Amino acid sequence: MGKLAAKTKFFVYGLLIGLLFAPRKGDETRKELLSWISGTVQETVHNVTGGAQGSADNASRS
Amino acid sequence: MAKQRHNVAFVVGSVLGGAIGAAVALWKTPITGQDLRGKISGLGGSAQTSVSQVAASAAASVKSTSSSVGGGSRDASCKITHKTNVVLGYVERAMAPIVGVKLGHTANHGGSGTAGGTTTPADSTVTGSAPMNSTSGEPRSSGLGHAASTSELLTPAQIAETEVETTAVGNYTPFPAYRNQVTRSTSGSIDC
Repeated sequence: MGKLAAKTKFFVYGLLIGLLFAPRKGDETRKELLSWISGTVQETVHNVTGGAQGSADNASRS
Repeated sequence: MAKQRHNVAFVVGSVLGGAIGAAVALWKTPITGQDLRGKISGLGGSAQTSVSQVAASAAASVKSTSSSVGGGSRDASCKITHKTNVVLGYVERAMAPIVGVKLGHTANHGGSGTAGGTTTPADSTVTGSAPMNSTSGEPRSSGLGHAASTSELLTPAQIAETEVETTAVGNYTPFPAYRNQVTRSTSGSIDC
């Protein structure tokens, strides 16, 4: 119970600090985060699939 | 050992709680932190301004009210005092013969056989001259003027018309004993 109370207390502290020092709105934060995530995922997939596609192209030429 | 593990758990739990709270705030906040801080400071400044404005207006209204009340009350009290003195004069004149007091005399008046000094016949008319000492014949200071006769005491309305003065509050018949004590302005009104 003591640990739960401490966690709750620090959760509230973090909430207040986040509200007071937020760099942008929640909507903008979500959009930016999602765009970043999607970009990162696509790049990763591209890197992974692109390497496989490149090797496949090389194999077909040879 | 257990205490150390407890402390570590406490620190980890607090950091985790704070991080989750901040993440929720960043995810769901409707405005930026700068705008929120500006709004909070603006509310405090506007409240301070409104409080100061309200205080200034209240002070001005109290000041104006007190000045008007003070001026009006002074005039009213002056009039009330003057009217009260007139009424008391009439009452004094009416009660004096009943009580057996000779107006204008005090207990300090000397005289043979009487505590109140020499007695004056009730029907005699006493002029404005000072009462005379019965032994030396010298004028004796009564301190308040002449002693009024019974006719003067009982019939103030029969006093000569020239003695009736018109003032700002109406006709005033000065009591003879206190005539010299009344302060009159050049316009004829009574000064309080």
